[in-house]
Amino acid sequence: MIRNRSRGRTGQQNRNAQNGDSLKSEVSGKNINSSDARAFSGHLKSMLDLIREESGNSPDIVIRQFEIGEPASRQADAAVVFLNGLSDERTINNVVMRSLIEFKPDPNLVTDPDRLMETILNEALASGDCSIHMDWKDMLLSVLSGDTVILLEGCEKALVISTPGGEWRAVTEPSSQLVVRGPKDSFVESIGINISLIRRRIKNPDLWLETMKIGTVSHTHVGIMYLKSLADENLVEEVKRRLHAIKIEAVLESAYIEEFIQDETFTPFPTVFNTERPDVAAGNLLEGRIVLLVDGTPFVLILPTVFAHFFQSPEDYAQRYDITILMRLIRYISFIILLLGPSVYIALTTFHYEMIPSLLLISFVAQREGVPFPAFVEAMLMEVAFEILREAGVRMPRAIGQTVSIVGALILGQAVVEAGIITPVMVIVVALTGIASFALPAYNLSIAGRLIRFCFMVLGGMFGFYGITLGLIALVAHMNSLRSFGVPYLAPLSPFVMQSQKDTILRLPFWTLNNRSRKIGNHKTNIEKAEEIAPLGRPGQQDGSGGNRQ
Amino acid sequence: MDKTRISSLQFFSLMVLFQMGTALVVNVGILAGRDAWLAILVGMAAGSLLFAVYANLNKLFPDMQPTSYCKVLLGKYLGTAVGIAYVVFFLHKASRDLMDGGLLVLASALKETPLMIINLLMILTVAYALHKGVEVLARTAFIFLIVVMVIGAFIVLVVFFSDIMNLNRLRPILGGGVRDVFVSVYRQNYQFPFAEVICFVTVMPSLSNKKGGVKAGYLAILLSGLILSGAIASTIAVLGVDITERSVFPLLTMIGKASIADFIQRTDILVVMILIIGVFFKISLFYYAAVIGMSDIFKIPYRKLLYPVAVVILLFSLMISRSFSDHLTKGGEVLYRVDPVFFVVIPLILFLAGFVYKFRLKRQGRSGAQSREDDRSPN
Amino acid sequence: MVQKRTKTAAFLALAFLIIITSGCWDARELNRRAIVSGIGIDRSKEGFLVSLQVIIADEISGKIGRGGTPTSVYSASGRSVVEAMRNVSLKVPRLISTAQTRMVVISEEVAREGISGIVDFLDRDSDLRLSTQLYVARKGTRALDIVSAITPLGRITAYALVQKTELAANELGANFSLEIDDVIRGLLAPGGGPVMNGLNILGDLKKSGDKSNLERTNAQGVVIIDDMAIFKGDKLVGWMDLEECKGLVWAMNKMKKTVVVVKDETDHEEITMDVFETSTATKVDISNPLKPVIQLRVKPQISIREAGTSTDLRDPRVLAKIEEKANKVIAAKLEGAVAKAQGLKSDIFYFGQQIERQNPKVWSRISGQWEAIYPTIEVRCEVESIIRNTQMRDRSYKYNIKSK
Repeated sequence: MIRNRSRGRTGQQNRNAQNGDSLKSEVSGKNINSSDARAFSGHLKSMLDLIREESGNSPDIVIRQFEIGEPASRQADAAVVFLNGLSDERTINNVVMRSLIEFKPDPNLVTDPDRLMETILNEALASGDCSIHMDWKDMLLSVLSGDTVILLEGCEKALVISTPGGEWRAVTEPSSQLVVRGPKDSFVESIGINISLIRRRIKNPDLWLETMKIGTVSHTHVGIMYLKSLADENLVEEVKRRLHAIKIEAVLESAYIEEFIQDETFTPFPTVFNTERPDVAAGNLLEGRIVLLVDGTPFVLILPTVFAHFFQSPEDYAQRYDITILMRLIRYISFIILLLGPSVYIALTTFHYEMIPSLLLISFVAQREGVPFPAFVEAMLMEVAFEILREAGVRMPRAIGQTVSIVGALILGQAVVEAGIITPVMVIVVALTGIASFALPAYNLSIAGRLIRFCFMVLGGMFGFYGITLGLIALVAHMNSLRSFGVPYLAPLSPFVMQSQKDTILRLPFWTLNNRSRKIGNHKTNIEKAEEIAPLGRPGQQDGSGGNRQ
Repeated sequence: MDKTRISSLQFFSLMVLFQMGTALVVNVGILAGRDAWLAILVGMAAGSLLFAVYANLNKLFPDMQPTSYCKVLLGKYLGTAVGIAYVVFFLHKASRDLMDGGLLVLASALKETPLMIINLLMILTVAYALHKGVEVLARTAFIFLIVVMVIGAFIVLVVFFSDIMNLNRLRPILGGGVRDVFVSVYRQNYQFPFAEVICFVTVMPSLSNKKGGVKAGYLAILLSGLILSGAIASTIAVLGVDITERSVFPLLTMIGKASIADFIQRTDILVVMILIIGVFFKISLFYYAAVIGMSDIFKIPYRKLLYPVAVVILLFSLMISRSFSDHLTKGGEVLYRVDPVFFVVIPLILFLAGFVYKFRLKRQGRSGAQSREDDRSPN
Repeated sequence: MVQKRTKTAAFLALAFLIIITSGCWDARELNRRAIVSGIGIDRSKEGFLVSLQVIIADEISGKIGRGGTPTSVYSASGRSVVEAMRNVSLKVPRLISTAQTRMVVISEEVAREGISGIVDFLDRDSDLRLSTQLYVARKGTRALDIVSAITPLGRITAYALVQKTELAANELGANFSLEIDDVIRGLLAPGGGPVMNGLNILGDLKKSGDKSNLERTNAQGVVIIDDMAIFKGDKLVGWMDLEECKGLVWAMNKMKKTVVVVKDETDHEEITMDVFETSTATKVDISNPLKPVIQLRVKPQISIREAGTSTDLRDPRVLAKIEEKANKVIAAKLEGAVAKAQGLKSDIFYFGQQIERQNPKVWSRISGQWEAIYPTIEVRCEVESIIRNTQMRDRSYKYNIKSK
């Protein structure tokens, strides 16, 4: 049913297979509740009719009927079912069909379809990944996932051969998380390929994979990957528990899952990390994190995450450590500029003009002469205009997108200043915050920052630095109340973990990071600390003092 | 059992910010004239003795709120009465600090904004943070301790490089004799801000490491004492004792004078930021102490009480005094006449009662009830 | 839980609304402010005439300048400084903002009558900064004239003046910058008073505020720093001349750099020397409490800048002689300053505080009579100058002419 099975067998034969099987039955029991035992009637024609009927006679379901056995002696009726386009036709023709047609069984066998199927599985098929399915819906799902099914007259089982194929995007350079130095591959929309991209980086039986299907309609494959020895067991259990609790019709992107499993809904901050880079996923696995892969999207989820995680770029480990430290500092500074830039400007000019150096102040005043809007309105106008430009640029085809940004940034900015509607300083401030927002490696964090920036502008516009300070306190308190799967969001800063400081804001040379185990050890202490404070709980349960009183 | 756990480091940060809170900006120990910095150091020593008393009480009942062990030690009725008195006392302190903060903001930055709005904004932020729990508050404290330290270092550099300090202005040391210093300590310094840490007894049950927490508490008193002493000393060294004594917010005036090459000037808004942060934590802790005490006495859920109490504190803060001088004078009166009852007398009575209690428990334990001894002190 | 959430949300929303709808009380746009760079205070019939030098920003750096003057002066009178300042609003369309004020000029007339009210205003005001500098406009020049003056270098006169003061203090050493808190400390010194820099206009008083002043290479009216005023308490009692000013600066250990001129004996030519490093230590001898002796020990380091003499500046013995002469010249300056201050009975050097610092007990005995003791105390000046270098040459070219 899933691609990993062949690998599972090569790696750790029983375990994964068992896992997969138990999971499978669990999933099928859950999602496909109308599993009908009578569907496997044993009567080939009615079974095939049922398949046609259930799929609405879709023309892409190919049914090929044939007979097994020497033409001279008794033959058994058989049918091969597969989905055109999703399965690899060459494999089906070369492997499945050929071995079936060339298979010349003992004539006695032909009368016993169950044994015949066993024999086909064991002797005839020249394919690595095949199994016998007893469940009708399950079998049907395999067909829809690109497997090939063999049905025999009189047999109440189905032989499922993995023949994944079809078209998908080739592995290309990542489009959103670029690096100068570092691997250039990225995940694609196929979960199988994505898993292989990770496996290729960590060749270790310790890398475990579990899969399940989520979505009552879409039956999307979701894979949970972790390093058994490093990942926290409770965490894995918790992730599985939350995944099982998801009730949704379709999962078309990993964000759907993200929203269900995150701890806190009412926050602009992302509490689940995502990436489209296999090296990032592998690196996080090595730090003891769990990777969730969702079929149909190149973005995998990584959890638990912390705030500092969003400031780390894969390139940090490809560059010299001293340069990396500088780069990280710059990212933190840009986040602060992004949050506070316009609001500090507003507060300074409308409340605390005494702080501005005199000559600078004169130039500010001169610019403001004749500008009709108050600084706050001006800032709002420009920030909104900037957001519109950005949004327009993102949606446009690449060639036009550039034109939009040039027209917007250069011409609009120039014209607005020339017309005396907006002061040039404001254009500088807005441009600076805009650029700062692009300096963050994580897109979802920069969106969060852009949203919060508006709150700060309101506070700064009404109460100056008083409002900004209180806003900052509230913001930090909010971030402190966040958890990502029980791990405090601001860890390892608060709660403070000395050991983890080596790779949080700083990135010390690799030899000080010593070995993996130390790094992950820290990570585990984080989780343990979190547990000590509040058990890994459902969203809303982990709040602080007095929670027990409710 | 309460799941909240506060690490020693977080406890330390909370305490440092709490003590620096308002004390950093208003005139502390100025009764001792140019020896204010000495008065603060002596006050710090006295304050840490009081802290030892509070910590000892907590050691007797590691996981209990003070309002609960009051009942154990003083009997049900008297204990409840003392508990309620403390709740009211904390409420009053919270309102006073809210007023302090509001007035400072009013004097330094927002001159025309109604006090009501300034205080409302502050109490809302406090209520929000406390709604998230005291653990979140403690973790926030750690981050803001870093922020305050960074701002502080910047201010120290600016003051140092603008070359406005003249240490001669601190001389002669003890020119007026030791008496002034002790008057100042007696009337103000041991209580404000050091004995005010009494509200931390409500936080102590949440400590993850009791012994470490108490140690961190002493360190926090030491550090904040040194910082306060250094701040007032440098203020006097810059402005001279007279201007300092007449200033409502001397640190603010001092920073206002510092400038480097006309570029960095009037950094007093940074001091206002430090003050806002400090006042925030000060209000939060008194507020928390009041709310948790109330919820412990009346058995009402903590969160249900939070917002009503916020309104009470807000209104209280607006009614508490008519003007800033009034506010300060009242503070001076209340501080050294009424407060010692709460800071010294009652804790000492509880401390003695604790001794008796311990003694009786031991005797009981010896006469056979071994099991009680065990569940009294599991650690 | 859900209900609670809604309640909380409603509460927060309500609070937010209250805040939002109540508006912004203190927000003042920059183009609604009149930024004051300097304040002048004169005597008028009602009491004070306050003149504000307001910066016209767009004349300085804007694109839409109308070719006007960079600053504009608004004045009005009132019974007190604050009242007068409020009366100025009748003329200024914007909020008068004094946080960027660097200079306050008081006319000599006002200064002679007492400055306590003015200083209290300057001290108390939360907008004004303590680092604002105080000046006295010398008789014949009104404070109004000073703030109205236009200077070619530095468009804003007030800022230019402050720069001038600092530069002169660093180069010439005949004055030092005096800020509000310095003046307050001076006012508080027992038996003493503050000193302040004097200002004067050199040239045509009327033309100094005219834009045509900018159009000539040789400006017709220039504001100059002119000596230092000595106060007794809050009243101006006298002025120091240039040499006395240097002595004053030296005695107060504020000297950074100055020029000393001595005459050479051999050919009576002048040798000009640069003091580039100096420190003054004050010692008090109170063995007789009623006759304290103050010792000023000055250690200047000197370099020779200009020597029209034929003496051999390579010879250490000659240099020692020159040092000797410099010592005398410098000591004379210090003594002159001290004598003047003692004559005016104003302890501008804080000798009283020096005694207090060194011996608080003695001070508490004599502080009551300090007024009487101060004019009689003996001040000894010891100068030990050292010639560190003679710049790029040692002997003057004249030495070679002579030897040939």
